[in-house]
Amino acid sequence: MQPGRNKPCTYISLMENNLLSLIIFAPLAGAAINWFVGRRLRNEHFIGIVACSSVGVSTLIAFYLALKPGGALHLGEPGVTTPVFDHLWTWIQVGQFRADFGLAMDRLSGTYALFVTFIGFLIHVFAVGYMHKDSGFYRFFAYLNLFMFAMLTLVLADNFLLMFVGWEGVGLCSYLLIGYYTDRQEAGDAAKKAFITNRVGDWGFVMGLMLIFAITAGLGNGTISFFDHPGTGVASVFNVVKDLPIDAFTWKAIFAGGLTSVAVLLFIGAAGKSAQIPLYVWLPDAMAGPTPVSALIHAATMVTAGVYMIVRCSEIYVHAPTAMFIVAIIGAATALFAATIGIAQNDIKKVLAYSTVSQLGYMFLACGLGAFGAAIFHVITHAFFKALLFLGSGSVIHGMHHEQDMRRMGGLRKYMPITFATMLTGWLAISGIPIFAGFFSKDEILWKAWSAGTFNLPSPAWSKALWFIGALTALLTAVYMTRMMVMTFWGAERFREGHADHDDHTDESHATHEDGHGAIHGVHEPHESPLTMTVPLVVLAVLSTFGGLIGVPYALGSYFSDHPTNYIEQTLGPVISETPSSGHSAAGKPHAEQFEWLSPKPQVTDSAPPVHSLDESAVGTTGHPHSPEEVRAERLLALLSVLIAALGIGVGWVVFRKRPLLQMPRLLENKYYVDEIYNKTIINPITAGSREGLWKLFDIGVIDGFLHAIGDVVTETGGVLRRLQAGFVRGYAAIILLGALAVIGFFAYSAFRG
Amino acid sequence: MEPQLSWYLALSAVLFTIGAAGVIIKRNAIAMFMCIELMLNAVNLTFVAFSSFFQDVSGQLFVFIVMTVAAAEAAVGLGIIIAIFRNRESLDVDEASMLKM
Repeated sequence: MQPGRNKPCTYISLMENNLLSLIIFAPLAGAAINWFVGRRLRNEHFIGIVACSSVGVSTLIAFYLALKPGGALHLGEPGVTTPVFDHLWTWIQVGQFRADFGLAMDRLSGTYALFVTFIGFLIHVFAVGYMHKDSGFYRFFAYLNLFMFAMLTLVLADNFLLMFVGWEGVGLCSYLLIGYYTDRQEAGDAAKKAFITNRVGDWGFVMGLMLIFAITAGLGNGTISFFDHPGTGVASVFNVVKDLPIDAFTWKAIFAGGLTSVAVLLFIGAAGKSAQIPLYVWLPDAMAGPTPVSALIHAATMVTAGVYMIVRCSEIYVHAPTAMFIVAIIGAATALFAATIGIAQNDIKKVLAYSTVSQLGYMFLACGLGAFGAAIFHVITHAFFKALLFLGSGSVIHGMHHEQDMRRMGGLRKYMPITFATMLTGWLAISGIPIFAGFFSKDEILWKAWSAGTFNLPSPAWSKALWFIGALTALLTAVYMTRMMVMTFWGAERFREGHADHDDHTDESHATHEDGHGAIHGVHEPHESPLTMTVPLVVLAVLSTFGGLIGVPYALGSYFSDHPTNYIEQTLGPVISETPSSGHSAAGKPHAEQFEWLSPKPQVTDSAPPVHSLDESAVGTTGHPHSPEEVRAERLLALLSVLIAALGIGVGWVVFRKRPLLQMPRLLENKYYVDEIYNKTIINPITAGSREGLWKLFDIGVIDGFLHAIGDVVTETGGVLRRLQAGFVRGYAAIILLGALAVIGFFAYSAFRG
Repeated sequence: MEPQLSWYLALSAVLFTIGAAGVIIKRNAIAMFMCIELMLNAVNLTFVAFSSFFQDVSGQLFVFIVMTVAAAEAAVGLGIIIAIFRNRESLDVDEASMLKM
């Protein structure tokens, strides 16, 4: 787009750089076409093809750019880690502050772009079937394409401010899509809740962004860019701050205005977007949106933006042990907390929603432990199996004629064989059964928790405690997923029962789900979904099954091969930073060297010099030595994870197979009353304060009072003045005469005096 | 005895005062109208007197203009008076005060 760039670039690279911007603009074009043309045509084929093909174009380009020789993710070639840049235009330039509308694809954003576009494409295809005969078909796909645009802008942005644009864009689309069913009160409420909760987090993001600029400007090189751009003299934030000393591990560091403050503020932003305690409350409510939206935005992509941001800023986090500790604690707490709630939900989508919150907690736990690669790995596998589970639940809901209550399902195995089979793989994946994707990523995080050093934890006991919470969450995850599967696909066919049977074990929340089509309930048999829905399910099922093999850890891979390749670690190694103590090679290398293979900057050193893997058998591809003890411990823990998963599934099966309608504890079913507590402690005071203080006192008293006072003065003055207008012509004449006499008298008087 | 300028001015002042007093005192619209004409002509007298005194014709030109305006005013004013009379059957200006608040 700008041939006159001063960067030397060949014709080919110029074309490819423009391809990068096409990744984000193709969905935008799709959104525009659907919004302006699709709304007039009202043709589902046209709208569906436009929406899917625009995302398809993004997908193809993303894969091409990432995997072509020399591409961002092309492995096995040293010296190809230079990100692909596309500088479209300079957006803001004021003094030192410079924000470009520029895109960059490095290994991290490339990884993200791949799964976002690909899963996005599958979900678009699925949605064509799911949204069939919906009156807002064009609107839905316009929003969905707009979301893809915003999400890819977020991921591919090369500076904080543009990332924030995408960040807000996905928030907007999330709002629009949660509130998609405009005729439902709870959808509108949920949309507002999501939007407002996210604003709280965005405050943190913006403050963190400003603080980053202030800090880098204090170092004489104010910047908000992720990457070095020698051509324009823009430096990477991470390269600017990497030489700063590591902040002290104290609570005071949070308020010191240093990198710890930045990290904590950014984490507030991440907690809002990624639904962490205390800002998680919007995500379960967001299930009021259509199910493909839940799969795409509220499970696979948008909610992992917080993880992406933290991993992108890993350089900042490894300077802020306090912030990492907070992230780990919040992540672990969220994981466990949400998992316990998930066990007691009866709405199939609510189970998955809490499961998502819980899994996101896992990812943050990994981030907090410094296992950024493991976090991204879990993001990817989670995207596979959670998208699958959500789409599967969408298929179930579709087949059940928009019934979401699992208490009215049961025995669907027979009616929806494909949905059942695919969801089975998702279930095994999330529970952590080996080979399936979730096992490897979850195990990786648990291992990192177990082996975490004391860089960002007060004592070694903390690492074991965090591991225990993680393991307990894994157990609960297996239990509630089993419960969900059992209630949905096994057991008696409860959907034939009338409403009356349910009244003794239903609650109010349940009544909102049926909009009066209970009468036709018995008539409809559940049916398998059309091909456009089942094909994406099958693809995702394959990914959920084998997707984890990209990140087989050394300890397990070495069973099968002498030099196993952990692709995900190898890929992300160059772009993420390590905590000084979590790198196992810390003893052998000085710190400075560690920080050299950091952070998104043009790299020439390959992360896996071949000489290392030849050194000794226990050296992995990433250059970390794997001592036999560690390998043994990791294998033991992996075995333990498998046992935990099996135990969870076993418990779930035994308990719920016979009694799927088992009453769960009220406290859990009502989500620990967190919404009620928030209402009491935060929302009601704010509402009351707004009503009594801002509205009645300030608005009515001060603002209106001021204006009314002005009006009253004018009225009063007029009331006095109108007495002059008596309506008697002779009176007016007399006034004129007196006036004239006064004027004449004045001049006569002055003349006599002067 | 030669007529002095001051005599004309005195007469004019008397006429003007009578006119002004009449406008204020009289209630009859036509009477008021006539008083206004009286005031105008008092002024005209002044103009003519000064014109003659200063041997300057522009004073007389002003008189012509005033007379023209007075004629036009008479046409419009009488028209209004007739309209008022048709509406109210009265020429008392104190009664024509409907526009006051």
